[in-house]
Amino acid sequence: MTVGTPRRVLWHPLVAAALIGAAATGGVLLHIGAVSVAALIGWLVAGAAGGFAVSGST
Amino acid sequence: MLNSPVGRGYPQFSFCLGQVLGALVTALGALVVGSLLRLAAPSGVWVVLLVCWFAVITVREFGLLSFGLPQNARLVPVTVFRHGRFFGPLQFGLEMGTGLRTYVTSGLPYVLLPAVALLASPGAALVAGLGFGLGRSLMTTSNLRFSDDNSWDLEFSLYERWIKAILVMAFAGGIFAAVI
Repeated sequence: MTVGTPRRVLWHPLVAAALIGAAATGGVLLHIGAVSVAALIGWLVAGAAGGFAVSGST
Repeated sequence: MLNSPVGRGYPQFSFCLGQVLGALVTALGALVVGSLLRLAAPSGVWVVLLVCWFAVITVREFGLLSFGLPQNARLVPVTVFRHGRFFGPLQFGLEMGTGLRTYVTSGLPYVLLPAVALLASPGAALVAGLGFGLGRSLMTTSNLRFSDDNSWDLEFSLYERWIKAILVMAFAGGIFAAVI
């Protein structure tokens, strides 16, 4: 990250991806713990990862 | 895109709302088509095929394999904004949210779509669509909040391999939690 102002760190694309990654980790842990909402979190995270992944330029 | 009238305030909100709605439309469409296709084989077969397809896409994401995927390879014309500051961005967002309007720069939606079609319940399909719309909206929001000079795109390019790696792993984790 070239400039470290809070705004540029908070809204950095790497941070957004890490947020999705953290949610995925949570979903997997809930799945391992046999928590019933894990599947829905999984679908939500898979969707978000797919949606955010198309952010790159063509 | 972000030089367009999708600025901060309610145009941004209506654009993001449109993206979520568009993604829900695609998810429901996939569910309808998939409800017929999934009759052709038991769900275990579809899971195996999807895992294999995801492996191929993962290799493609990192440039180790190159092949084209179907996409609407054209830019969105500025005339999409003729409906004003709310309905213009809403329509634009809806079209973008479907994933069918313009270029698709990642292979992950090409795994998500058949996964929803072949394995998701109606509720799960709606949640996956919601997630896709929110993921796209996260891009819009973070891009606009990051800076006023579109340098977010530059940062994305700089860290693209890391971002791709995180998203591929997140996608794998999500699908694992959802269907395995």
